[in-house]
Amino acid sequence: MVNFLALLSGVVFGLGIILSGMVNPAIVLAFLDITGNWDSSLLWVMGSAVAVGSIAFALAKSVNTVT
Amino acid sequence: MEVLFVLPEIAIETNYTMLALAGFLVGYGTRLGSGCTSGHGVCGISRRSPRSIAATTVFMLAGFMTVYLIRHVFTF
Repeated sequence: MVNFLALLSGVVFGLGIILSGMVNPAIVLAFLDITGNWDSSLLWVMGSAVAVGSIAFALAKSVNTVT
Repeated sequence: MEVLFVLPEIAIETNYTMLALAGFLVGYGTRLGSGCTSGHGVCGISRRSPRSIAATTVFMLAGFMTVYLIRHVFTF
C-alpha cells in the first residue's frame, strides 16, 4: 500500500510540474532572471505546493503513526 | 481530455557539454545539501524546517546570481 501511495505521489508531482510548465527550462530561467523579464510562475507553483504540503504534514503529524 | 496528452514545448538553448556539467553540479549539490529544490523547497518548508528554509534560500540566491552573471555580465 505504501508503495502504491509513493507511486501515486510521484505521478501527481510529475503531472503538476508538466501542467505548470516547470518542465520547460526557459520558464525556470525566466524566474531566476530577476533583472530581465521576470516570470513569477515558479513562485506560484512552489507557493501552492507548500500550501498543500503544510496541511498534509500537519495532518500526518497529528495522526501519530509512521511519518 | 485531449489537452492532457500534448507534451509541452521545451526550449533548450545550451550545448550538451554545458548541460552535462550543469546536471553533474545539480547532482553534486543535492548530495551536499541532503536534498534538492523540491525536497527542501516543498517538503522542507511545509514542515517549517530551518535547514530547509536555509537551503532553499541558498538555492534561490545561487540561481539568481548565476543567471544574472551569465545573462547580463559574461554574455557568452
